[in-house]
Amino acid sequence: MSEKQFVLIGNSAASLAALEAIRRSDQAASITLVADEPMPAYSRVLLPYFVSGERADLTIRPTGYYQRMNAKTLLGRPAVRIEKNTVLLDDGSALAFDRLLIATGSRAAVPAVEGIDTPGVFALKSIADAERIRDSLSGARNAVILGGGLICLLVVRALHRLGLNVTLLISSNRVLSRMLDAESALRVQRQLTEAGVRIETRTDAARILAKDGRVRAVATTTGLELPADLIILAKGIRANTDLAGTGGLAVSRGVEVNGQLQTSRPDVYSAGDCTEAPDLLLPGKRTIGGTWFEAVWQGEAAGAAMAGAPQPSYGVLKMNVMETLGAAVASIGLTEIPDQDGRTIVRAHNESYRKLLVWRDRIVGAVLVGDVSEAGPIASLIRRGITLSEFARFDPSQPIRYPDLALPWRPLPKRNLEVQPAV
Amino acid sequence: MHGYRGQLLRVDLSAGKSWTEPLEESRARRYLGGRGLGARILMDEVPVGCDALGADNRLVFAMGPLAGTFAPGSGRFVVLGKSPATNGFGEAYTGGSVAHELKYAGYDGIVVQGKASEKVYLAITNDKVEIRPAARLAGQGTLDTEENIKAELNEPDARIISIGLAGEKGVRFACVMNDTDRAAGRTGLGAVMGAKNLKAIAIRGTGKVTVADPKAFRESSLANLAKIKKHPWLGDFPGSAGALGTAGGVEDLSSMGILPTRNWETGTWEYADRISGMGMKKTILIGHRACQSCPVGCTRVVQVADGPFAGARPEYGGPEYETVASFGSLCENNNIESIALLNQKCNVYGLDTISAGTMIAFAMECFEKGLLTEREIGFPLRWGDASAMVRLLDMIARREGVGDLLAEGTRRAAAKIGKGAAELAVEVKGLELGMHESRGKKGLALSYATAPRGADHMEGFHDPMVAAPNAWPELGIVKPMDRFTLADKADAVRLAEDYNSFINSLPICSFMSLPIAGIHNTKEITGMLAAATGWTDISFEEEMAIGERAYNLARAFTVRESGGTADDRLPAKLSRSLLGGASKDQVIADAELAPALQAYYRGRGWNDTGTPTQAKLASLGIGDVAQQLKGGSR
Amino acid sequence: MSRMIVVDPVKCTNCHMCELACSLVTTGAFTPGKSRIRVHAFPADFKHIPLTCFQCASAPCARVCPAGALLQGEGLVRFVKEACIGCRMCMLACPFGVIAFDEPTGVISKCDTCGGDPECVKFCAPKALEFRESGLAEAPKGRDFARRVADAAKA
Repeated sequence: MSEKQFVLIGNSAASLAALEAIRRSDQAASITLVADEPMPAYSRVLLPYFVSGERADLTIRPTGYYQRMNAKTLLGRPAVRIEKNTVLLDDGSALAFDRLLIATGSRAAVPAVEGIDTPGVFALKSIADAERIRDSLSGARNAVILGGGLICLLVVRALHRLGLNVTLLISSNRVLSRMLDAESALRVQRQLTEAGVRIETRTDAARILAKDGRVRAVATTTGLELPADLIILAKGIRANTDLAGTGGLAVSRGVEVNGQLQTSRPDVYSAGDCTEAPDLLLPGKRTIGGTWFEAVWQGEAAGAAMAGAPQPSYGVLKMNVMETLGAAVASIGLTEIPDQDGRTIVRAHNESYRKLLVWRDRIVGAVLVGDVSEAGPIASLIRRGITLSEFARFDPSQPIRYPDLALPWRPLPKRNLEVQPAV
Repeated sequence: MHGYRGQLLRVDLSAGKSWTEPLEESRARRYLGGRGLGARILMDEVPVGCDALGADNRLVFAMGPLAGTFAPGSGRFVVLGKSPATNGFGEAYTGGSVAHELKYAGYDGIVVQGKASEKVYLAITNDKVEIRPAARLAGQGTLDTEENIKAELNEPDARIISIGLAGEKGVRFACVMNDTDRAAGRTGLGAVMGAKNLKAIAIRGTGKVTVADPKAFRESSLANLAKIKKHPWLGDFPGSAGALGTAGGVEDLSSMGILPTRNWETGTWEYADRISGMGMKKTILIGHRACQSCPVGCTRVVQVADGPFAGARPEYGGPEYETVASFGSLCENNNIESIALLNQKCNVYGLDTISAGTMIAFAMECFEKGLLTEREIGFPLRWGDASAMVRLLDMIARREGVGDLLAEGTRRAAAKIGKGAAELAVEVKGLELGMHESRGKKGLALSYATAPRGADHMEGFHDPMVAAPNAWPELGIVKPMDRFTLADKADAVRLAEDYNSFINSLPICSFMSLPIAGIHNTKEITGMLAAATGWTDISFEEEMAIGERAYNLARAFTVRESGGTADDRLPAKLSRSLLGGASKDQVIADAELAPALQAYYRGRGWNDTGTPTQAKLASLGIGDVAQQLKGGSR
Repeated sequence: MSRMIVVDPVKCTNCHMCELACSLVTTGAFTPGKSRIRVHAFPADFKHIPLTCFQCASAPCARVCPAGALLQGEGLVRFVKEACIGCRMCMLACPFGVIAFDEPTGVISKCDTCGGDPECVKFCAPKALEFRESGLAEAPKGRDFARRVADAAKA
């Protein structure tokens, strides 16, 4: 096997997954991993737990990992340009590649609000962010979170644990509006409210008010003035596409790739938050995954493709799961049916709620609140694109377990024996 | 209290309310559970002479300290009440998953009293108990009832006890069904449930059962399991109960001349191999499955997709021994597919297959002898006519035409037919005999004659088990006994009954115990009970005393309800010669039975008409029961 | 090559003793809802399918775990309870649905083969569960299981 040169930009879920995938099929290749941040790989999912003090160590790979993977690392060395078959780093050095992976991730979206750059307004995307938040906690009593997206719930949990009064400002009419349907979102919202979290829906920050050079309050579009010792941005993410742009790659909201995670340049791949990949469920559409799951799966798919291991075409399947204050919430796939050719199946049972979306005879989405134990099999069902009519006995209103997916159910004779005498 | 959940669920359907009653450790240790606990409740609460189908009767569902655990065979419970078939002690055992589930829901049993004004079902989810309307379930079969209730409650994992049309129509041999194919078959308790307007009980439990000493419990259970796996009939061997089901021995029974055939005329049948476990395996069997915590799995699973008797489905299991004999040899029906269909219909309607088959055989003989005519029946009812059997079974469950008469059971039907039909009715105290020919295993005749619930094949022992020396040293039964003799068996029968009665008070499956399967696991069972409950000082002697106490309670109930005469008589047919086969010409003559009965009564400490004496009852710590027995202290 | 719990659904009789054995050894009480092996019954098709962690060779749960609580080991996907944050991502990643969430402790639970001596196997009388070597890698392992389930459906 020829010694190929692989360069991976990034040091988080996608990049590590790609590294491991390449090594599964190519032990000899030269792999160099380049990252902005100087520390070994850590888990961004754990950042809220770092803020709350529950976790000090965020590393997700054991010591000696990179050596064992036989990968060179250039950590704390931002890549700035792609030129022909090289990547230029911030110190002007150049790395030649046969295959390049862009896994530059994302940053927090920053709303255009007066005073948004006031000290005391934080994103939570890196250890540095988390440390800054921790430093600002002493004496803090009130926190306002801008946005009702994914990250917000984990931040709420962390700040609530620390005893802060937490207020959520949400533009739409409910939390997690992109991830959950109204019913389950309201369940989540109810739990948050019961736990003492204040939620202001259809509300945005109008202005950040400062005092002594630090945030003091948020003035809202609804005329409220909410005291705030710290403000966290949770209004979604923006893909980091700057590097891709320098190489002349096709970029829209993220770096555009095909089903092999290839960018518009065949020897350059992209995976993770910075990537807009074909949607699994909506033909012709591209989607930014934006989750840890997607980063791992895309990284693996990209790594395998880069190493020349054949694989089926990749499609983004959005899924996420979180624990709020009280109940788990999982969402998989679409949150609404694209056209008339579908139906929803709701199963509410004790504390649990489950909704399945069926579109063109396939399950295309699910929301689960409470008991999420069916989520894995459902995700597998969606990813495999199995049509419901393939299963004579499959009943989507019943709990779905793995065997539902594995059994090519043979139709049995109709129930002709049940005796129904006149009573 | 370990092993137990420490409470019973009480339901008063007349008042439409439910409550819990503590089950104290002292009561638990005296009566254990199952039969002991249930018999005590019947004795205390069922008014003397009450109508079995009236509001005053109780319907008890009794579990025990091992249900909910992995003790082999522990997935059992017993249904009890005054029997509408015998007007005496009624009880019936069943397996499946209900026993475990009720324990997880937090109860050791359910006691139902009163009568609902309209059809209802009970929905139990842990400590939430609801009485819900069930009018729309009227007439529905077991599986439909279960599926409808699961859907209505949105509880796909609920376990369900129910009755079918037969119970609703008050057929006197209607059974209580659970888990689709499990039946608490005998003594007509389905009719008691029907009379209470109780269609079903749905149970969902998510709690836990603890044992006092998990390590010791595990060891005893594993030791028991090891013995079961090595046992030739219980283990995984060709011809075992798992491989061939309980009908594995049909050919042997026929060759021994003790396969009940042609309404007990003979004990040998040329078509035995058509209806046996092997016969099933060659034709309709698709596999086997087990009750919860059962390492054996004797449940047959059959499927018949086409042909004149198409319809048997896997959910309803398949016929076991009693069923293949009652619908097979007893009616001279050699079509196994029709037996599977009849079995399934019994499960759908909720009918005891033993009594239902016996009823049809009785009607066939009545037809043959001209006591029932084609006009009365509506069609000819000849021996072996499977299609006619299917028609007649439907009529019995629906109480249509002659079915209304036959739904009363052999004793009542024979009395109405008159003209000597009673000679053809093979029952004791109103309960039809299990499919075991006591003329060829005479020890069983003593149990048939004396057992609290009537002709009971699960009380004493089956003589071939003790044909070899040193059969049951645990019970002191070491001398080999000939199956054709009755003398000198009274003590052995009593000891086997007492031990069975202990097993039935646990309750665990009789197949995994000494007198029924001959498995020497008494020490392991003691070990499991002691480790589960923490009663580390419990002994075999105490277990026998628990069994004897329960047995005497059950007997006392039957004596009380029969007005003081025990009616310990055998059916007329058993005093006539068996025709043909290896047990040819055997009879049980009164001259043989009478002294055996007296020896048995003496051994039991009962008086000469079979009533438990004050002294005996007092020695068992239930002296108060004597007050309830007319002349009981004679 | 290390050993794993191999499931043969054709032999399963639906007795649920595996669940009870598991719940006793992992919780100290009989409560099958907490078992790490569950028997899924399909009575209409006469199928009973015990499912537990297959210790996949390249386990999706371990690949997505963002907390380093599930570690891909030789033959066993090891769970480090102390590292688990209860995020449940592994539950979404596992196609078999055999990772459960334990509310009281706030972390997940999954089969650890009782440290190489699985209790469920000892209580499985019909030998539907065996603890033995299996050389199958993840994908073939899943396919092999699906094939055996399919055979069970045809039988």
